[in-house]
Amino acid sequence: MSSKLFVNNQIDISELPDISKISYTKLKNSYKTVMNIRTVIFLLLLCVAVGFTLYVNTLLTIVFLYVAAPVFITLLLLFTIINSKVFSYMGYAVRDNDILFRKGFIWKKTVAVPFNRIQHLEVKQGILSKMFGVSTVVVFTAGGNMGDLTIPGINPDESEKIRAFVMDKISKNE
Amino acid sequence: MNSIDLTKPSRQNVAGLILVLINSLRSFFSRFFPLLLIFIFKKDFFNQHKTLVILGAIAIVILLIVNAILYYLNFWFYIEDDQFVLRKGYINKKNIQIPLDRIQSINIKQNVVQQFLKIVTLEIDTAGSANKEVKIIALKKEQADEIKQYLLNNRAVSEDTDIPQEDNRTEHSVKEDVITKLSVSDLIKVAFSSNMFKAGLIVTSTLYGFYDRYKSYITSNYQDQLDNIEQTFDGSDIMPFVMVLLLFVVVSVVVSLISTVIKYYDLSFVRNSNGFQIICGLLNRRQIFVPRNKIQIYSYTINPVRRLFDIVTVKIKQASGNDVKEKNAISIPGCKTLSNQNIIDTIFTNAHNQEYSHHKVSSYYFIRLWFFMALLPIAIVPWFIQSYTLYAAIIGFVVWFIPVSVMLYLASKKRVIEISEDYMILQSGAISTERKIVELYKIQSVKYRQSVFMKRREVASLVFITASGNITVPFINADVATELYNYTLYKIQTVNKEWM
Repeated sequence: MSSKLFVNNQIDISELPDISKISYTKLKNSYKTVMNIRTVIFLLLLCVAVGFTLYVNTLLTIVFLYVAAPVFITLLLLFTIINSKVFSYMGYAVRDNDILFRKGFIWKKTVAVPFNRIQHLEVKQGILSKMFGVSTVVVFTAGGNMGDLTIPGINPDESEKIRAFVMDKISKNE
Repeated sequence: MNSIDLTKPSRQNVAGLILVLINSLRSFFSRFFPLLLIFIFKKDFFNQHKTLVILGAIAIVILLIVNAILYYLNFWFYIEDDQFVLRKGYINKKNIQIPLDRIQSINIKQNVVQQFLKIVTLEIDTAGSANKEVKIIALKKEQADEIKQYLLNNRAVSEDTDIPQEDNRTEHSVKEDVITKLSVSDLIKVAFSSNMFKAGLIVTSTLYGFYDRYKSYITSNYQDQLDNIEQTFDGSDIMPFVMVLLLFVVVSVVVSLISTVIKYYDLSFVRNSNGFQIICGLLNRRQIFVPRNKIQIYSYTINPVRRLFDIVTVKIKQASGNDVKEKNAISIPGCKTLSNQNIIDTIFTNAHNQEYSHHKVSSYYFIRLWFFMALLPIAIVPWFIQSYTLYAAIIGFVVWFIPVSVMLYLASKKRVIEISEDYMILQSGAISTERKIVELYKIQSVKYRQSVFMKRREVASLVFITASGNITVPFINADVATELYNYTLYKIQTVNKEWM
């Protein structure tokens, strides 16, 4: 360690559970498909919006039609690569006393919520998620939006297990 | 009738009827202000439809009175099964229930109208953002105090468990202990040491906005006067500029003085056995109570002028729902340095005898900020406004580049994070110095952030999310960040105290 956290430590910090040594559980593979479908929907909507604003000008429309397809395909390829990068980093971990989730591509972040700070827990499933058999676990704290933890792309059975485990932990704490 | 039986549903004070009527009249007038202007300025219209207008006015007043009566008759509050219940509304009926142990804070307020009617508002806040509608606007002061005491007492069991009483006062001394009182001369000191030009800017922009909105009206009616003003200033180039500057300074000072006095008049900050209470205000008396264990973030700010007066600005933030965080914070603008230390020692009983390690924020953080805020703007902006003349470059350099660079340099010197066994202190500021104190176990969740660029430089940012706002520790040594992350989680999980 290049510098020490404490001047005078009563406990050995190196003995504490270390977040840099966690092995994260990957999300379900079908969630990558969900991400890609969302990207396609987003790009299509973008095309429609741009196309509509240019609709008034006929010449621009023709140019747009020629340009749109290559741009669309390039963007789609780019986003698919980014999605797979993002997906491969995403992961969650449930430890004895807390739950963690990490995500990001260029800007990576890891959020941890200790069980004894959880206000409540929610398992939800959108239409797209339902089609691909994944669900989302949302953990709420008293810290507002920033403190909440959202784990997408988990098998519904697994979500239910996490929920049961955490609820059990919370009730034992009290 | 002074005593209230809370187990049975009770109504508000009858004076609430008048208050509701006045409130609804006021909102009616402010909403239909332009319409009334028409009546005043277009006499013909008024004369033509005299009966219609009068009948309409009578109808509106009757409707508002009926509304006030129905509101009063349908407003009930009581306690049932350890829940505070509030029923209100006659068309949209609302039934709000709050478990007593969920109550965050109880505030008593009084505005000008209420001062005349001799009633107060009682506000109950909870941790969730959903139930923020709990407001009883018409109660006798004694009744409000009684309800407040009742509600506080019923949670007292869970509240007092962890708090060590470290008062060196005698047993039978008065329970309340005044820490700070601000006299008018103190308030003047506060006003002169506050950021007056911020107030000045706000007023100027508001006035300009007002002018912009009623421009057509003003120019059509006062064109002659405007012309006169223009003629007065014609011919001299520097005079109007000096006049405007002088006016701005005077307005800033006056506004800052008035707003400080109105907000903090007769401030008294009191400590009692459960927590702290502040009472202040000239027109609206505000009373905020913060139980000691609800305090999440304590911060105090020193600026160079205030250092001369030996005062600091103290802010105490307590746990509350999303929308009411700022409102529920106690703010004492002219706290004596000694009192500040005294308060810190009361809240964080063992903070002063712990050892702190200091960690500087990486210089890379400020270099990055400097690049985006100081260098990039003066390089790019001239391209957009297409005037890359030497004159513009010099102005940009003097007005923007130099001040921003100096401020960022000062900020980089000041930004330090201090960690001890139980506490974290974050120091920030450029000219003024703010220190935020947080007890580690009160943190709700922790975020570790690192971009690929930061990884290369072995730095990382941490965000600590508390129940009254976030604390960001930017760009510290990555190893220290990991250790602090681990240690904070460990603290949250092992300290067996209620965080609120």
